Amino acid sequence: MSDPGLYTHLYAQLRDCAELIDHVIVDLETNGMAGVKEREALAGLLRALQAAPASSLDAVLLANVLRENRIASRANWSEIADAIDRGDASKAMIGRLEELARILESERADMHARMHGSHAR
Amino acid sequence: MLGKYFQGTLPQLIERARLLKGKIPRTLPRDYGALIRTCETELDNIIGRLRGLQKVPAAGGTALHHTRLRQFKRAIADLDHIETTAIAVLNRAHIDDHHANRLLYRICQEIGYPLVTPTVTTLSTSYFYIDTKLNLMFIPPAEGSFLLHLPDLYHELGHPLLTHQDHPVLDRLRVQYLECMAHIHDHFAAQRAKEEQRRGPRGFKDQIDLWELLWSKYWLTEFFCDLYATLTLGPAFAWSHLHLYLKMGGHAFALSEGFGAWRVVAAYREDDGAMIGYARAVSDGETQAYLADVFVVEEARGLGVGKALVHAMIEEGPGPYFRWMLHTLDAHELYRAFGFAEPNSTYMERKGTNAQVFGERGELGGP
Repeated sequence: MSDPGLYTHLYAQLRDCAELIDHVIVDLETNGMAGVKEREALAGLLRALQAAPASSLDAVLLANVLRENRIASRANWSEIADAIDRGDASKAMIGRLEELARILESERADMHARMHGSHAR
Repeated sequence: MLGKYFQGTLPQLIERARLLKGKIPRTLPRDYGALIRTCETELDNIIGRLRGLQKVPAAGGTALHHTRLRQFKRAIADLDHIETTAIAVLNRAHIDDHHANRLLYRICQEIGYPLVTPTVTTLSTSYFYIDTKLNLMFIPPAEGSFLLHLPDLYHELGHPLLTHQDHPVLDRLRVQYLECMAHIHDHFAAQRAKEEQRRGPRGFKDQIDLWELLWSKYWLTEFFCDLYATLTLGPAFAWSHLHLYLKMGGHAFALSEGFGAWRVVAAYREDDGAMIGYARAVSDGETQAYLADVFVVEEARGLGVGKALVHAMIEEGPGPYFRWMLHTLDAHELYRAFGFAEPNSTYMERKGTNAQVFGERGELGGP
């Protein structure tokens, strides 16, 4: 496979993961309950981050992104997952999710640029 | 301000997505049936997301504001992608595509491919690749009748096997993949631990991190697809692979993406793949280069590894005609063999102030 295929594959994964996180942020911020399924999916993904070996391809992707951004050791992902389960919409909690969403968006934009033959960074 | 921008832009984007749906030709051969359906589903999904953004209240916290902007950007990017790939392919259907699609369909039948056969287009400008989301395979225009590269079709068929979520037969494959990933992390953790004991140059450890990341992010997936191609096609895939390697050129162990490096070259032990040597250079990429690290682990010294690294770095890379510089306390004779000599009177240098960190080896951590 040449590079566009690898980038397209990673792009799709990053996009889905970024969508999931943003969906949960909106859901928590607006006190919505429409996204129960998404909350469960994100909580599951964050818990999978701390499993060894990783238990899903999405967790592998997210772990790579975090390692590249050197923030892997700063967060206790299980704690954040528990907070999502509780519907915790505190400023601190939203801030942590926001940081994750920002990193993923930056990666996604970079991957999109690579897919189309340029480099965002 | 952003609210007003969205107010004007979102309806336009929805209209654009609708327009793209209208551009899907209705009289194409059956080859394109799956792609047409995927395209319609994706466009409906984008329209749904854009409509969702119209409903989000303009007021809200900062996080909500940022979230809305990110969702908006992603919807535009996805729309661009569909337009420049799937819609372009559907509007440029060609008889060569039809032949390639028939061929791929037969291959999938023959190997018992468990998923929907991808649609093939001969529109690629970059060798073979597959867009797994659209299940759309791109091949160069002449591939339909040029058999040397066709084994790569088998490799591309491997990619959707890893990404497809709802097929029980593929669960085992994913488990194996994740186990393999765990072995990779174990291997590099052990390499890192060894490296910490050795206390070699920092670049050596960075290189281990980079290899781990590349394996984790790209190469394991490629390796699995190579295995799939070998399993389903046999030796023909290896010939195709050799051809691709020779065609692409470059040095097998050279990496351009290395922690502030212009070029990195590493040496590996044949039996267990452990990294035993490493060289890093910084350069303007045009006329000058600085050989910043040449390091060989103790047990591999005296075997010519350092010489091979310097040779690969200088003579086999893109800079054999550059002006090369280095600082070194030892191995002067080795470097002389590559044309290095003491500087003449035109050379000036400002001493660094971080000698306490790098000792007498120079501020760039020279060899």
